[in-house]
Amino acid sequence: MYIRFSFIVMIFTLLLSCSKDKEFGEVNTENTDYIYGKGVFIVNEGNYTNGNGSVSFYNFYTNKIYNGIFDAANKRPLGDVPVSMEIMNGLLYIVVNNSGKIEVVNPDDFKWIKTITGLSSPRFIMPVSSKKAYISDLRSAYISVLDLQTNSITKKIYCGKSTDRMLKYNNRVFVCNWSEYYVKVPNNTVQVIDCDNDLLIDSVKVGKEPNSMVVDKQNRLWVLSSGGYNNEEIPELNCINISNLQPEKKILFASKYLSPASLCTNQTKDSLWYISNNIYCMSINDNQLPATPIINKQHRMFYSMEVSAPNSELYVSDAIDYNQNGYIYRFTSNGSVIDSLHAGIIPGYFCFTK
Amino acid sequence: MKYRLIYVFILFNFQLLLMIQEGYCQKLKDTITINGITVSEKRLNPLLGLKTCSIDSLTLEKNTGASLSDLLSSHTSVFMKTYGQGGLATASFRGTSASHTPVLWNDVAINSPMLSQMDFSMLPVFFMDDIKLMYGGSSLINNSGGLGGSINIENKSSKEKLNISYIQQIGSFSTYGSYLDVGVGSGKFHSRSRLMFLTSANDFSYKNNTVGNDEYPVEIRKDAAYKQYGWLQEFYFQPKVTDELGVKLWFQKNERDIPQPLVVLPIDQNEQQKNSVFRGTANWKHYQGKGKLETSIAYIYDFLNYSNKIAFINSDNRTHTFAVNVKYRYKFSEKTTLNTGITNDYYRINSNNYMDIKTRNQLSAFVGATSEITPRLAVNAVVRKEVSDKDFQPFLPSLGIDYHLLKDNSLLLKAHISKNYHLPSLNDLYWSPGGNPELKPEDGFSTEGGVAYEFKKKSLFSLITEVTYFYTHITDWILWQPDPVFRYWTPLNLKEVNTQGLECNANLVYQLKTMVFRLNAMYSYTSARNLKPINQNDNTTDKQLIYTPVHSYNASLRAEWKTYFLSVASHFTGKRFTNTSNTRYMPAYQLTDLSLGMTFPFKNMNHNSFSVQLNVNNLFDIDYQAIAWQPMPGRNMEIQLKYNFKNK
Repeated sequence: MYIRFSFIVMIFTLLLSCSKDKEFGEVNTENTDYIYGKGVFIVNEGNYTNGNGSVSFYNFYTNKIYNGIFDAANKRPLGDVPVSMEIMNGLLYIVVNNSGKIEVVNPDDFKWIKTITGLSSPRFIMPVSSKKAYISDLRSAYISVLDLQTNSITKKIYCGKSTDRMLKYNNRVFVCNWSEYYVKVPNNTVQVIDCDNDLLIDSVKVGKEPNSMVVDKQNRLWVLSSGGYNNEEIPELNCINISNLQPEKKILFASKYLSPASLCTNQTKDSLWYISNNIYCMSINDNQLPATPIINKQHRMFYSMEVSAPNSELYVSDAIDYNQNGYIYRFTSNGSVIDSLHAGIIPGYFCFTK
Repeated sequence: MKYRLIYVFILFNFQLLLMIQEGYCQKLKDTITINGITVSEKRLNPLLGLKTCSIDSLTLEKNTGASLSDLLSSHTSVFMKTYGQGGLATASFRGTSASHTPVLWNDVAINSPMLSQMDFSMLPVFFMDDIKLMYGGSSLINNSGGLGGSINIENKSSKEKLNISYIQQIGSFSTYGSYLDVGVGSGKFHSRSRLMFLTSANDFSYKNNTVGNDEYPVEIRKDAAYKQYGWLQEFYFQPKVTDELGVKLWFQKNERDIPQPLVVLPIDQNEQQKNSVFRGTANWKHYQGKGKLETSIAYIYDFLNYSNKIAFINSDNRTHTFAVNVKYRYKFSEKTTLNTGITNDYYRINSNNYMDIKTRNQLSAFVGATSEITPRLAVNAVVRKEVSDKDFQPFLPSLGIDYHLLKDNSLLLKAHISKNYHLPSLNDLYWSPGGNPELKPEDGFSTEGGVAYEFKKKSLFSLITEVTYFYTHITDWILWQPDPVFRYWTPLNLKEVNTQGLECNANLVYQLKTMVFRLNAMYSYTSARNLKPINQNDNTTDKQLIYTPVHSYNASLRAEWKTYFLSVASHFTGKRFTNTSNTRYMPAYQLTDLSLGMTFPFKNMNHNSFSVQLNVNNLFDIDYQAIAWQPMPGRNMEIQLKYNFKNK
């Protein structure tokens, strides 16, 4: 009887013995042998409040994609909803929206250097000179000015609106007022900032919820507006004279439910691409939208697109079901598929190395 | 001397465990072990061929001050997905989802019809006298929808003339609980009132593993406070031997701050939830000849306010439930019983999140028979039919068989097969925006088989073990997905899921002179796989569902001597994938709790007693997270003082 009982007790204590495991956070098992070089970083947003966003890197020379590189290099998560990144003065700045921070890392090994805090809901960062960068913010009425020497915020520019995508042209910065969710004012404008004096100087009306901008070879600003999160208005493509801000073209989409996004242009700045379920391409001289897409979506859920600088290849992400790891497709500029790569959850932003 | 031997032996084993490291752990994940529950097995039980478990009274008493989520996670194989003490906690059986787990309180379904889930941290164990887990098809006897199983909570009258007990609980992180239980009665009439008040600042310290370079900084959890007040009133009246009347009224108010996951920029008291619930039921049991008639009516009012400052959400959700339940049992002979019943549930919901007031009516009828064909073989068959609003749902048949392999009835073989379905929740149908009124119900087919073995040697030693294999196939599983046109999320009948696994449990009692040892252990293996890709890029096929551990086990050892007891309970939760492509996971963890208690009877007052209990939770101060980036407390303590007066 004792033997039997002792046996039971022994089993019990063995069960207890499986104790301390050092790891207690979420583990990302994706490949991690990151090699830096010429290529493209992909910012994967992950799911809101799940902290499963990540950065992938597609190296053009090794022809491999490295996923989850921040987690692997720094043994901690990147944060909640990373949305964009920028390479400035040889450092990488990753904007982590719902963590209200920007992580600065060394591109060679992706090791952490600094965390920039004091932001509420940062969306994009853009260098305006070698000394400073602007940070747009969804949940604040200000653009933050970052000193690139000290990597600290030195100034705030009052915009009175939520700010999003930015584009620099000479000494002007154009800012999309994309959201009305937190800062409750109409979100159908592009604001103009004098970046020598860090002052808001003007604003131009576009469609509701402008989400992307490019400048063409005739120095015209093209702004694509989705029409609103709940498809409230007809989406618009606006073409604006960049010097006097006078509208040159206003092209309306066929219906409210098309949600166009990711307006891009090529190296020669004479063609435009955008996603509206499918992918469309048009010339900057067109006065109406193309009727047929150059790439059909088929089963795919196109989420974000960028055109690579030297060869004008299209990089397009497929978020699949917005839960699992998405895909990156590479297409030639006329729409034939070159390759597909497996990235992270909701690949949303491309940052090409220079 | 013998005690000392045992003590030394235990000590030796503890030493051993320090030496044995992970190698053993890996092997043990495949070891078959057991749980803290007694297997109920009665002849002519309408649950033939099925697995049901009741939480034993000692475990219930030890956990009086706990929530049902704490109790189930440490003592059963039900998987609790918990956001921390006082935070949202949902339960799932056998790899199914939280909405596939109905909770019944005295036969009334109390899951929120909006979510079709239950928040288990809002169910105080103090308000429960009997908790029964019905695995798989066994839940069909009470209602449909339990694709994984159901949890049944019962209240019972205290038979004493006067019974007063008061419990004061003081715990770490400014946690205070007060519990008063007053039972009064005469021969025919009994009343029992229970009052509870629980509050906690819940400001524990944790290692923040989302920041820092080499070492994780220690921080204090903010915005995790909670408060609960409750009153459960029961009246029982037995005018004749053949009739029993009962009224049960449950009022409860819950308030909580919802803390942010560590990865999110904290905003003070951003999210809050306030909830007031009234649940009332009146029932009448009537015995006549060979028949037994049970009828009950119930009404539930549930008010929930959720607010989120930065998202500008302040939503009110009001749910009314009216239920009528009639059951009739007729014993043809000692060997054959007929069971039949009809239930009608009506839900009416007024929510900010719906376009207008939404209702649902669910009418359900069943008929079943249980028969002992030979002294060793018994069979049970049930057919259920439901009408939801105007839709006739398919027949839900089930068949169970029990066969005693040995003459002494010590070895029992069981098998069961059934069909079940789960209606979409009202949020699935009507949430604005996104709700999809075209959704079909989720369909389930389950089968299970098991062996139970019981060994008794006088009263000195007893062992009950059970091994069950289960298989469930669910089609039209509802999944929320972004709509390609409108960018909000919308539910679709997308997934097809197979869950199968093994559950083993053992329950051992060993008496050594004046000492009693009880060992309960349980192990479960759960494979829950997604079968259907949504398109050719989908990489989630044949992957384990998220937050569903493949391996889990728990074990508790309790030693009793006179009025003293010492118990050690440990539970292991295996690795859980956190994304559908199974590239991310939460590491496994094992938690151990220690409880020490003693009761002092008052010398000159026979009916009075005073008891003290000390609980140490997470004894080894393990850092863990049940859900990604939601920190959990390390070692924490709790003292419970109880005064009891009884007059029989």
